[in-house]
Amino acid sequence: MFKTNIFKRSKTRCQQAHGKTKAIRSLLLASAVLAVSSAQAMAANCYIMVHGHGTNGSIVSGGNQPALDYWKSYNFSTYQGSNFFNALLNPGDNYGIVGYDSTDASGYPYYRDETSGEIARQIIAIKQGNGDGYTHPESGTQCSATDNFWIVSHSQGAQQMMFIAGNAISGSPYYNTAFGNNGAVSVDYDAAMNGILGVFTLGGAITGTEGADRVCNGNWLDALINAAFLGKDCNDSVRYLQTNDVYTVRNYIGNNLAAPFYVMGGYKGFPGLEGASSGLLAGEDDGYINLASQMSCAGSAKRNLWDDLNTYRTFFGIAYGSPTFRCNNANKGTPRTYNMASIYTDHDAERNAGISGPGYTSIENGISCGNGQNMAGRIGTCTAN
Amino acid sequence: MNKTVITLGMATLLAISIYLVTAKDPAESSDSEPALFAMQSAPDAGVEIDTRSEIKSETALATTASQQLPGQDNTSHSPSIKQVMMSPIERMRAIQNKTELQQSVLAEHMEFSRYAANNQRFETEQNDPLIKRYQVDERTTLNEDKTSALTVWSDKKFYQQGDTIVVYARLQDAAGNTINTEFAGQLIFNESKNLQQLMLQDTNGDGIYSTSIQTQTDSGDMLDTGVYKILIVNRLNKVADAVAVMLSNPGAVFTGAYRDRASVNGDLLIEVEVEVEQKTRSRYYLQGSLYSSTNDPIGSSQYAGELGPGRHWLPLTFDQKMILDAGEPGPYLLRNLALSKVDIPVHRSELLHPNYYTQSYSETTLAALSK
Repeated sequence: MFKTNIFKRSKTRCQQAHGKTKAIRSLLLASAVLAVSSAQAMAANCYIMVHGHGTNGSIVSGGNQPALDYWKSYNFSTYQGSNFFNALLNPGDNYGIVGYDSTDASGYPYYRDETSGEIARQIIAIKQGNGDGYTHPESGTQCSATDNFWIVSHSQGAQQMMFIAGNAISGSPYYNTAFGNNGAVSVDYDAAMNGILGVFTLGGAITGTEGADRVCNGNWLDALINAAFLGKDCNDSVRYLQTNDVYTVRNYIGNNLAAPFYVMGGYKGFPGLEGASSGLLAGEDDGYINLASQMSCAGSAKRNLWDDLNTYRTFFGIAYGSPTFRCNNANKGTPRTYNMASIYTDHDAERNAGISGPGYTSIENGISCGNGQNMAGRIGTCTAN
Repeated sequence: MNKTVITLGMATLLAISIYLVTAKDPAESSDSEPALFAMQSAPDAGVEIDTRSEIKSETALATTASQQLPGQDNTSHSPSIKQVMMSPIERMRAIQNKTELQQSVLAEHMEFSRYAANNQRFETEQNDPLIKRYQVDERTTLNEDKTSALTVWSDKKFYQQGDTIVVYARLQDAAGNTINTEFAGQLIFNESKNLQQLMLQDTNGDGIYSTSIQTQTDSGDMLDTGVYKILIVNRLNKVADAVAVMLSNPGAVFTGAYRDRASVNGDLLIEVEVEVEQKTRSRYYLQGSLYSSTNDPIGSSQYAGELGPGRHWLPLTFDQKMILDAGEPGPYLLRNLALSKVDIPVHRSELLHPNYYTQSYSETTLAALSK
């Protein structure tokens, strides 16, 4: 009996000790889980930057990095010294540069392997944490594979991303397909877009630009629009930047986009004499791109859109009455496309953050985080962890 | 970099902890330990990362329960490292003070991932992607001193060889009144070849001027397929613009045969028969939109694939949830349909209105099939 009692007491003590150990182990595990979860929740942002027209982004040689420099370059000296990344990056944020040949000399439109194909391949590499191959002036800003990925695209870059995202879902017309000199080539748009939280378009030429119309239509060539920027002949890259719908990228995508697009439009003309270019573009514009195109409105890119993204009846140029068209989220020409902001900035300042605290107009379905900041600042504020 | 070190350190600590917890203890009974998921307070922390589809879809929590580290007892409820790694969407959900954009991204993701990615729900006819795609491109251009506005348009955007292209133009003053004037036109092919001069005429005095272009001659010769631009100039008011249209030959036609059934998932599968008349294989794209029998919009679907000569049945799958969310019982109407040959430029068929009604599926039938 004694032996039995001893056994029972021993077993009880053993069970008690075991229970405490298990509790400690469980607590340790829970703490580790919470810590990992918290670290995961605060993963860094990685902004994948896709430049616009007129840059040979395929050049990366020493200090010659056109695709990176695009985001601090300027057409107007008033923006000298500005830098998109100064306004975009919060501590801990990273970025990856995508460089492709968007020059007039090469004349590659959005469906080419040299444009969409190259962009998709570089996005995949950046997301794998392999770096972008560029020397960043800001140390420690190369993206890692565990970052939260966003795409930031300007001007023609937005058109490129629309083609990629619109053909990244199985069943799309040009699913995983680009075109080279010998016909169709396979490109993994699907993998490029996988894991992308959203695409920001800044002054996107989503339904083209009237500047390209003027070049291709061959009538009173407009000397006020920088001919060196658009090119003097209607090569394919300019041809597919026209506002006629048979050329616009929305005519070349499928039912859906593989990521949501948040569109930001500028409605300030260029500084100085170049500001006269706005007089040649229908509706509000940022000096190069009609606001209706930037905001991917349904219907014509030449809509007489005001800065509040509405059209009105006008009498001698003065708007009156209720809107005749509203470019809200329900009236977009492309799927999964959402209003972010309508900002008093021009096409140059959109990409170099040259106007630090621009005015803006409240718009239907607009997103208010970052109000009062330029496009770069808005993205940084709205995506902050 | 620092965050990477911290995350790796935490992951190591986690691995050690899991080992300690799950190490075999002779006095332990297999069902005495509560599920560790219950101790996790981070929301949805157990969702598995699927790196191929972490944004497009998320694996349900229940399906990750079987994931485990090597050597673990299959009956253990301990989570693996993989289970506690969060997808980008989960990371965003875990942010305490979300910005308006982050809230929008999360809500949008939930809406998008509710249906198959190649389906698009729309609630008004004007948002039908087929209606949008085929909508006439009406364009208005102001002259430089903003005293007059030129509006141009064509009767269609996509034509077939043999069609007649009709182009219209109207000039208005700053008050919106139509101006009687003269227009000159130029027909240009492929942005490079001037084909002919055109005269636009106002045949009924309403201020709308028009011209017609035959794409087939009297002798039966066809204009080449491609993009045709009709440049319209009003010299008096120094304003010009151009209409651009696509003359297509998709090389395939609809036979007029359709059939439908419910798939094993409870989705609605409508098959459309086409006949490829051209002799070479090409990629084709089919898009169709579904309405209720009372003409209420439901959504659209798409299919693309390589087709050789002959007849083919092409599938359009409409997501069961999309149909159920519309709250409409069958039969359903395949109302708009279009076929394209995928090329540069794209060759589009006429927009077809097949007026095809499916069988009378009830909502409960579709829902039951998915169980």
